[in-house]
Amino acid sequence: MPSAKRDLLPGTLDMLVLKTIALGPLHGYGIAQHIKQLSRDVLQVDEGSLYPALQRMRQRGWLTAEWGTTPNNQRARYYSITAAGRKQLGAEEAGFAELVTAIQRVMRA
Amino acid sequence: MTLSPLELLNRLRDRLRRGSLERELSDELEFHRSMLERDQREAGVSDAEAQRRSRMQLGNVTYVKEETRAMWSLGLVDDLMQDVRYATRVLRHNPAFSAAVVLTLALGIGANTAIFSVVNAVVLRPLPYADSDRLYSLWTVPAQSPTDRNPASFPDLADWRMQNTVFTEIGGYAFNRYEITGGDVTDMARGIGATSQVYDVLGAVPIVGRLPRPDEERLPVMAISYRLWQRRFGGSRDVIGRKALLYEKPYTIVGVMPLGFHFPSPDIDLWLTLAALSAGPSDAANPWFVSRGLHGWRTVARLKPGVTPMQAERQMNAIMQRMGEAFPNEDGGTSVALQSIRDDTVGGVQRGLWLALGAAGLVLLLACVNVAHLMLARMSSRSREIGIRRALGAHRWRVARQLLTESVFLGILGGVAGLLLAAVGIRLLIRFSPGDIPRLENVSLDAVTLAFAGCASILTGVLFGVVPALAAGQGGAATTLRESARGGVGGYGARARSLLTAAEVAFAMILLVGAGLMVRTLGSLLTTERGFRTENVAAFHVAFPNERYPGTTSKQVVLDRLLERLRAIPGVTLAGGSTSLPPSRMQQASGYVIEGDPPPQMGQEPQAIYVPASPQFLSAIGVPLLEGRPFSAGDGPAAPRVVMISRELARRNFAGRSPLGRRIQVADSLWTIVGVVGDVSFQGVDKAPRPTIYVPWAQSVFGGAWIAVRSSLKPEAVEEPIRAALHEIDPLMNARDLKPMEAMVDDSMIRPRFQTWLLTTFGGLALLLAAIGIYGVIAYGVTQRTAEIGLRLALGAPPRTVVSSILRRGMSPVLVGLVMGSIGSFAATRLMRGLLYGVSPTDATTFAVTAGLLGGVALVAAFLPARRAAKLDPLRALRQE
Repeated sequence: MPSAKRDLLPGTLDMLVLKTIALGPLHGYGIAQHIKQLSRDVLQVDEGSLYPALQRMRQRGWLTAEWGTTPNNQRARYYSITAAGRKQLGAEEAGFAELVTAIQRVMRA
Repeated sequence: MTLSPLELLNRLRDRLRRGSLERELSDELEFHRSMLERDQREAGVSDAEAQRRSRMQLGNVTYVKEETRAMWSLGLVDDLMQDVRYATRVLRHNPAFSAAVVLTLALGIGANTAIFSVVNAVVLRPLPYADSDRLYSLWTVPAQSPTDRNPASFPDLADWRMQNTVFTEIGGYAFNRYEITGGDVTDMARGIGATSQVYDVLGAVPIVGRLPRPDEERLPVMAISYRLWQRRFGGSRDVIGRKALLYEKPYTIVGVMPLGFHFPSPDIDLWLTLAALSAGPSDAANPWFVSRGLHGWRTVARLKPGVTPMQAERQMNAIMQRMGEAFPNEDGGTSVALQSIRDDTVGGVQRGLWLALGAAGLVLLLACVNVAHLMLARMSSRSREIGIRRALGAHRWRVARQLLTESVFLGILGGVAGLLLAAVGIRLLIRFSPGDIPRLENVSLDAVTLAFAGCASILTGVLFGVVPALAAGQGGAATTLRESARGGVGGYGARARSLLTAAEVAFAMILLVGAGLMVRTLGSLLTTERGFRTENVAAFHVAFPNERYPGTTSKQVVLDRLLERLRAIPGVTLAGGSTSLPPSRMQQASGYVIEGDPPPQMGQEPQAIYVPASPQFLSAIGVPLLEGRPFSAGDGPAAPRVVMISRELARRNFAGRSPLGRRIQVADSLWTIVGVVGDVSFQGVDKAPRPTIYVPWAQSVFGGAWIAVRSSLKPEAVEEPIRAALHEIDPLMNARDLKPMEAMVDDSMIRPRFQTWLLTTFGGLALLLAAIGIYGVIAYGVTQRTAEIGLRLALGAPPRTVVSSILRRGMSPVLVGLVMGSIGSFAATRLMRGLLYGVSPTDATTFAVTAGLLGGVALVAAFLPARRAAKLDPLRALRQE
């Protein structure tokens, strides 16, 4: 097992989840897998944070949840992004880019 | 964390479907796990191992659920729900305790809610006039008796209207009684004849039609009360425009006033114009319209915006002073006083009602104290539970909050039960209340009253819950656990109990002193020397309206005929008529001057009650003749003018000398005094008799008379023959208020009787609650000290010392309470001045008897558990430890 697992930066989970489902509706497992794979196993989404976060974002109206069937005919809950969610994603992406640039400036000095 | 409105709404919605969300989350997590298991299997792991690894990977499912669940809860609200659920469980497990608490609180809250509903309807709710707090009545105050409030004269009223700049308008009105004739039944009704400004000033809105208009001031039109509308006209809307006969004269009905419109008092059914007051074609013939000295007009005025009552009173007095200079005989020295229409309407009953609410409040406080006792006692048996909760890390505040939730919950239960009691109590109150309380028909359990009951319940819960909650918070968890092993809540609880007992005794003492003073008042009223004898006397009122009896002669003749006919009834011994009747029917007062005495100073003319009376009237009601002769048939209209005077007038004006043969100037004539009679009060049994002048009816005829009939039979037995006699004289003649005179005296005491009934009920309740409280505390103390007492007995202490030690400890807070209660009563009973008669608010006997009674009851309540303690079997008691 690679030891390069990193905890997520605080506040970035929402952004990652929203970005993931912006590509198409997905269930909780799929979201976790997607983030893990695209980050090459660096980012590990803890289930203990993922599911509360999904509930919170649903209550904030950023995403909706609906039961559906997987290609393997299993019942799973699919999350889709809403218009408000897209707006939020845009705001978070912009904020994150700003943060990263700022950190890089400091580290390069 | 702040929630957006949308988020809060979603949370609330989620909270309500928490069950299904929970299931969905479980399904979701199971799906997640199954996918992880599949991943493992695809990596070539055995089935069992794949399942194990997937579980490990998913982590702590309970934790995930716990975290997610927090998203669906509402924080404090859910905590509260949890507390309430816990409280219900605790209370259900102690049904006897819960029932005792709820019942005690229900009594207190029920009594308060019932009284408050009356206070609210009668005193607090705005009067049914536009902007009612700008309405005032104006009274004339004679210089020689500055506490009197007299009506105004019609010329005074006209001058006030012309000269003032502080009121938008001033209206004047006078009372009258009417028989509504025509149709099968004759109704008796009281009405006011008013200037058009009265209806303008009031700004009241009829439910049907309108009030008389200014251009109708001299036309026979009227508005009627809701009550009369229902009773006589069946509530029909086409009553508008119909004519009703008042003493045979037709009046057009123009409006119906709403229920609860009582201007100026609850007994008014007709609102008429000046046409109903002036008999002749012009006012000039009617002294009530032209004489400046006849103060027969009550007033109502609307203050202009921005003018204060003080400014208005100042200007009115300046005007009155100018009038006094212009008319020194009538208005000299007179001043003007303003009274708000609210005080005018409810002033008479306001004090009694607030007092009743205060008394009910004391009962509630007592109930609170008793419940606090119960809670404290139960605390000791729960201290173990609380100790454990504290030891497991429950915060002190969390434990106190739990206890407070319990007591507020109990308070609300008590409030709900109390509302049921209040619904019954309100009916009782209305049934037994004196009929003269205005606006009583508005009393109901309305929103304001419900809010009051709700606040009272919650406050009560906090009040009796705060002591045990504080006691529970005392000391750390360890102390509580250690103490629970000994079975006590420690010093704080004991001190709290003593304080509560003292407070309880003090509250009960105040209430009982109040009740005692009312009982003594009633006793004085019943035994006071009234000056007349009521046994075997029936009395009633008849009217001689101008329509049927024009002029004085016909009025005088019909009274003579009527009295002659009444005397012919078998068993009747005496019958007489008069304008006034004790104990409380006074027709008019008048100034007088004794011939030969120096003339009184301007505006200082003494006043006497002026009573035209037929022969036999005074002997029929048993007023003794002290000197001289009574009136006889010889004192006719043409005979020399003669009067009888009361002893009080003789005492004031003829100190020691005989008044017989002296002459007195009254009502524009000079009369010779031929007799002196005993004193009688015409203004209520609780009022001292005023100087009174009796003149022969034939020499001062009036449009109606009170008739007194003395017989050898029971007064009820002559009622039918009396009605028959009236019918024989004139089929349209009615006997109004025909009843035994004893009943009239009883009726006049209905208000003090009601106050006494109310206060003794509350006092009795207080005594009972205090006795239960004291008994409970001492019995509880004995149980706590069982081991100690057993040890003492085993070591040879005589039972007598055990008893006395328990009594000493139990009674010392009672003594403190009695002292506090005496001081409290001293302050509180001052508020009862005006309700009392024949007893001072600080009557030493009442205080001493009350303290003795309360102390005695407390002693008995303390003695019962003390005796039980002395009879303990030492061995058994010791083993209990």
